[in-house]
Amino acid sequence: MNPKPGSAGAKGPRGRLGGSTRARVITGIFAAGLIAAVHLGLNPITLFTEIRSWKVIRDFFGAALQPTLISESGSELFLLPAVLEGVQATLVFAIAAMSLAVIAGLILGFLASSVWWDGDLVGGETGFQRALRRTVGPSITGVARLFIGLLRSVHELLWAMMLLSAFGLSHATAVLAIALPYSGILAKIFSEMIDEAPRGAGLALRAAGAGEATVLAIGIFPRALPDITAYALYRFECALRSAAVLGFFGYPTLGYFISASFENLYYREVWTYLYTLLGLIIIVEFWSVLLRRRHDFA
Amino acid sequence: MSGASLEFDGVTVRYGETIGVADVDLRIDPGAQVALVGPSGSGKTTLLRLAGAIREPTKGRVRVDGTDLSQLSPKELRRFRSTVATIYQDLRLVPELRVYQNVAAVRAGRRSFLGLLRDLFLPSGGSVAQIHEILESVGIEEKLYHRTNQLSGGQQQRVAIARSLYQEPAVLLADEPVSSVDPARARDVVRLLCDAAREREITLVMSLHNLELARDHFSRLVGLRNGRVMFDDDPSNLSSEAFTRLYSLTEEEMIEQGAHR
Repeated sequence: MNPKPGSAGAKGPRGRLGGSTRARVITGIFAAGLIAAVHLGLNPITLFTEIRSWKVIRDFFGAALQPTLISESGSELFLLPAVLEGVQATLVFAIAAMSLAVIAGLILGFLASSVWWDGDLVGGETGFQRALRRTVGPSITGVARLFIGLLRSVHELLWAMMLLSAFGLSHATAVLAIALPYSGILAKIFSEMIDEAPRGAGLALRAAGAGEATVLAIGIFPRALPDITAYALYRFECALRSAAVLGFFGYPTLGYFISASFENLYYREVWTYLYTLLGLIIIVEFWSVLLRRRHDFA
Repeated sequence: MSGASLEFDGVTVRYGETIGVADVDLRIDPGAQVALVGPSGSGKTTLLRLAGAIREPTKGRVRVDGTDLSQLSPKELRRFRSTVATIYQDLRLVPELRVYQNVAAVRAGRRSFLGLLRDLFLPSGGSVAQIHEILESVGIEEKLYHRTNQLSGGQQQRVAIARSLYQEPAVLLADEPVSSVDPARARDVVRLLCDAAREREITLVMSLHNLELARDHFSRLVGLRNGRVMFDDDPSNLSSEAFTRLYSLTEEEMIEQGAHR
């Protein structure tokens, strides 16, 4: 997360990167990129000189302008039912996974934040309660962060592979494959958003005698909610892409139809599905803009 | 509820090496109105935080209506805090909530958590009518259901004032309430607060940067400097030299402030 504006200035000149430090950091980043490229033997020219088949490229990108709704298999099969099935499955898997991930992300994110135990208002609790809060709080946060790290260190495709080999090709497997890493990612970002939410209103409620739950639920959580909503919507977009790609494992999402058409070299069909996916993403983007405008989130 | 008395008895607050207030003795009668004046860092905010039991004194006693705040159990402390309303320089509202929700939330100290959620999201006609009435008294009743972040700065300040009155406090603390308000409105806001407190017999303690406002609206000014009380009197008894002395910097302080900047 970016530091809040002003916080860098508050640190004074020493907190900022000096001119020479910045130059060294930028040089370092470029050097790292160069070393990686050399190590991989990347050469932008060979991308073009070593092309195996210009024909495939021509055919594939040439088909971009002629997506079709009639199957290219010659059977005059109408493609719309397949498109709709793919859209429906993609949406259903993404929605199911995100519903789980948002709930788990909120719970884990809250536990991983420090807002519920590092309060600095004097009194309102006994010395024992305070000591308990100051020792148990950080421990729970530490465990939650470790758990979140485990969830999100494994990509959804790897989760899918592991879950498939364990439980087979069931709907629950696909939903979990997306929901598990997304819970971790959401929880990490949510916890940062909760920790960075301005605390003034919460402290004001505390000063008026409010209890812990009120301070968190009314004073702090609403301040993080616009960011949380916007980020959850963005992750929903990502979940749509993930659900589509899970089709490669055999689920009836858009990815399934894309890979089937691709294997048969029906590139115009592939483009039909790709444009459908694009349309889905654009609709979600529209929805998120509308929601933000209605709630003055922007 | 009528006002409470405030008593500072040899109160010192240290923040590490820095002195917040040093050996302050002060008595404020129930329903009295007092302005705290003095340069930045003179201890005004610290005194307000002590009175609201947000900070404990390093030394000395703070008594409200005769009760020593350091003797309160956690539960009593929360109950006490629910009788002290504070208006902050930065308002400290929840901009994402609606105006009536911001006002209603301040009674958290006297409500169960679920009871408060009901007040906020399924409010009864009675509590809405009460909030409407208080918003009317500060002149923004038509904003009752508006989202707070859609209001102008001046209107939001009135929400903060309405919130403090809805708390039905015995003591009203205002920490530089007009420092971010334009001068014409500042006078209105200070008058509004003084009138509202007088009408309800609430004890009012307000810290102010603007000496003119303090002199015009308060019959008792407490001048603070470096955490010490320099004067405590009716403004008509105070010479202009007293004010000059309050704000003038010693050479030492000038060097120190330069170093901080």
